[in-house]
Amino acid sequence: MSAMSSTAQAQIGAAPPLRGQPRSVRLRDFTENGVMVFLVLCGLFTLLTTGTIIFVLGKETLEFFNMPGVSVTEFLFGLQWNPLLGSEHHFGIWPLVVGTLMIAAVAMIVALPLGLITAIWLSEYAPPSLRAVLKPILEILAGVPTVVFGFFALTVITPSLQWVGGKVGVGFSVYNATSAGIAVGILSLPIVTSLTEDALRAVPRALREASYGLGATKFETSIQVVVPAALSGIIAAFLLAVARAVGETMIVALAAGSVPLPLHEITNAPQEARNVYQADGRTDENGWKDFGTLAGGATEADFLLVLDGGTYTTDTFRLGENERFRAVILNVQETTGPVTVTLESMKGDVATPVASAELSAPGRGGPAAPEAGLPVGDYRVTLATAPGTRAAVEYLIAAAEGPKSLASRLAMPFNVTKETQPMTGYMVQIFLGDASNFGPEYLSSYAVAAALFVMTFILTVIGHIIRVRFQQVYE
Amino acid sequence: MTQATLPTTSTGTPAISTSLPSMKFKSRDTRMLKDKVFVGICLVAATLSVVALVTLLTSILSRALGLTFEGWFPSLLLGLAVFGVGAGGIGSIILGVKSLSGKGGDRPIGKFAVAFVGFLVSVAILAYLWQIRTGKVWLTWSFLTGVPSRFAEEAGIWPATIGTVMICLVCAVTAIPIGIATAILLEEYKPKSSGLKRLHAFVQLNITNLAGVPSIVYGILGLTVFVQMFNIVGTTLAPGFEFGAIRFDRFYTEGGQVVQVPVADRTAPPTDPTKVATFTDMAGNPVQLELIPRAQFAERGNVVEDRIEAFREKVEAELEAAGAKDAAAIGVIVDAAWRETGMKSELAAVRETIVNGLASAMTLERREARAARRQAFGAAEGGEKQAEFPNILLAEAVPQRATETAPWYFRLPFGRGVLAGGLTLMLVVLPIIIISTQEALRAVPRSMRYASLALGATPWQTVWKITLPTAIPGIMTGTILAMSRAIGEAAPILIIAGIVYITYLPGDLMDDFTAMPLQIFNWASRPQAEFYNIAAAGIIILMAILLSFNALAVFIRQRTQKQY
Repeated sequence: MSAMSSTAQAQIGAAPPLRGQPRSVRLRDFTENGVMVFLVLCGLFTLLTTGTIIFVLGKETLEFFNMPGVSVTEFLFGLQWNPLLGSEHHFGIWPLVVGTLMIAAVAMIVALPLGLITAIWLSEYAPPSLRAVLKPILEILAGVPTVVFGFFALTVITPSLQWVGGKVGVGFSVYNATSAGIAVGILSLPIVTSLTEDALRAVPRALREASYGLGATKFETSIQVVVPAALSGIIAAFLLAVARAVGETMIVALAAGSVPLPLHEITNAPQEARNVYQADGRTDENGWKDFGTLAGGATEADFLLVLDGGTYTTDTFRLGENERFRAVILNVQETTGPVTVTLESMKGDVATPVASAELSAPGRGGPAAPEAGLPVGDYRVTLATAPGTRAAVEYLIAAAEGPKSLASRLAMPFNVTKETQPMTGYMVQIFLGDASNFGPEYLSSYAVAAALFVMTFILTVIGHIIRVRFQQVYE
Repeated sequence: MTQATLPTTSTGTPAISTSLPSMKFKSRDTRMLKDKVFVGICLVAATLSVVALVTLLTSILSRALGLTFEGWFPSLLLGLAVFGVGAGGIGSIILGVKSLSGKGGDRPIGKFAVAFVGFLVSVAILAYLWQIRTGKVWLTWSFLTGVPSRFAEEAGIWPATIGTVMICLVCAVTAIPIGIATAILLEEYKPKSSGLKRLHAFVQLNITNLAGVPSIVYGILGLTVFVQMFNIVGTTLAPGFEFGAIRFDRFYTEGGQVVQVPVADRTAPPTDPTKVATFTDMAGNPVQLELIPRAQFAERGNVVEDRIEAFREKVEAELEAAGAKDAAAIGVIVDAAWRETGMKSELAAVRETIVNGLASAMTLERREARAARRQAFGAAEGGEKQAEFPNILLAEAVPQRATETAPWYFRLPFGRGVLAGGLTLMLVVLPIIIISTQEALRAVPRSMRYASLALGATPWQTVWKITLPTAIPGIMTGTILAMSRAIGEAAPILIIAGIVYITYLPGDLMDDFTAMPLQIFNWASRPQAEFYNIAAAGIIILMAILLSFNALAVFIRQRTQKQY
């Protein structure tokens, strides 16, 4: 390369030697135009990329909105994201958006102060030798693949958080928003630092010298002169870092979990129950048998119970202080007669019926909780049929965390110690094959991608505009 | 605000201080103390990023190399030693080069000695820690060269490494020319008319925006555009255009031989064996076969089955009676049973399989034991059938469709293959290459361009002969860093390739593949803890590649850095 540039410089320096035949002007113009066409095509390629992104996301999102059971209003304003489980699907984007923002917020709490201080130090204080050490380290940190940070979050940050949490009495889940957020923060640290440092260095020397000339210390100059002067550049850096954090995928896919935030008020759907007690298929002396053995090994009926005249009693379960009993849901698959479900309150060994219901045909049903709610205590459920009646049933006892006060209800969804699913995490889950192709669940990931694209687009464009303005001010 | 500090320093301007009577003046000591404290905070903040990097490297190294210890102190020591090796090693290289070239400033040899001793001490500490480690080493040669497995002990990363190399080659070949060309267009061919100027600014903004698009969105784009091609030229399963693939219908003869017949295309109906003129073996040599209807064959087949059943019963009865556990004793039983039941095939060929299978069945759990035993007797059955019916094919035999692809196999749409993966990565790194190339081109002084143009060179001649050669170091640095981003990128590849279990190397550009970050993600997302260790070993290899790329970029930058 250097040989080439030196010949080039030699050619500039000396008069160009005349060699051979004069070149054809036509050939030269042809090359010139051909190159121009190629360059313009390459330039248009980037426009085409953006156009195709918008087209693909837009088309699939429209297709998603045309699916049965999906509405634009619910998508934009819904507080419940429940696309995969249960019979009722909800596509409200906010739990995913809030999850994403929560992780980005944790990341910025880590990256912003650290990045800002490091950048001030690098730009104003650092001696060249230390700068020469720290810059490559930040570069290496910026080059670490995100999947490595995800692994780091999962195997180092989360256990550390759990250890610290154990000391101070905060329980962190295996997958939690804090751990993912810290990892994203470390990832954004080099971006924040280098962009902020660029902004600080762009502040003209004259401003600093004027400040020193007035007798200000280095600290006063940095904080009261340089940082305010570079503020818009710093804000741009911050916005670009947020855009990066919002779009971060692998860390959250590994460390944040896969349960969207429970933003909505909990409803009666069984899949949202916090405590689910399922029959385990044991045989007991009252004629309950494992459906699997009766049907000759039907695997999907693992938790179906077959009632052949008699009663079955579940284990006793305790309804806690902050829990609300929702319902016993009995799913009758097949029956030759009525099945009775009774919820009983236990005082010692004495059982008092609280609510009961009867089903005599295949379907769902069961006793709901009394209006006033149930007091704290032990409960159990009894299922019974008349002698000679055979029924295949499954049951679910659903209890849910009850809302205490407005404050705790507001605080509950934003719990950074628990599992969260951000937008990118959901997309990974879908594309890894958790949903059949071309159903609303699958297409919903395109709608989420579109929302993510819009978010990062806005952040990037605003950040870019601020940055360009900032550069113009000092040029 | 800075005005408040005036009176303490500028004694000759009382007018200003009297004009600010309400200001409180802090003592110079407090202000200097603030400065000192802030430097302290800065150092802590700067150190934190170093700590983060060292912790990251140490935790992953300790998993991959089994560096687990009793108590916490050795782990801390490990972190310090890793830091010492890194800082001391790099420091002594830099200072050594400086002192040799005589550019080191004050006493370079002394600094070099300090760094080198630090390096040696850290290596010594590492060697000591290596002695007292309690874990298993996961980063082994067999891991490097092995294929993925469901057992962590046997898993390897070779197919993922080759997959990464292939997609990155595709990415480099496409992204670098397009990226550099776009950057040249934006930097060197700035338009003069106002309409084109607006378009120019729009393209520039668009590239900035593309750089900020989350990579997973590019994955979705690649899935639609490259993998499926909007389903307008056929689907992934039934491509509209294919080139370089040969299809066969394969039959299994009763003797266990595989024969095949070429078929025209993927839509051809299954071949009827009675209508085939010549069968060939896998190497393409013609094979003479005897076609027999199933009903007619049943009797002959039963004779063999009975014989094998007799053999099996005999061996199992003898084994139970003798309770033999070692291979030698089992071998004696097998030999005897083989003779007594009049097995026709050569025992020597299958003896080892049978004896080893039965011997391992003795030591395994119930389910695995059953499988091992089945395999052992399966070998006996295969050998026997091979001896009895070498060339017999059932007339009702149903073929299996097989596809053999040439290395130049090409199809539209691309499907979830290497080409689609590489092109998607190209989309991800393109904005990065463009932006870094633009910066490199901007660093070339205007005067050089003007000189060239003044000598009568055309714009392209100027770019090709003057600007590009001058900017090449910067372009290379940016491109290498962009490629290292491509190597580590997992999200778009995850969408293109999915999590696939691949134990072979991709044979052509349309073949399924997996990449290192994807494989690491797969291992890291498994519940078993051993797979974490395997993931750590994979990360070490990935990081080694990336760090060498970064080092190369730094080296080029240092070597060729020129100020104009």
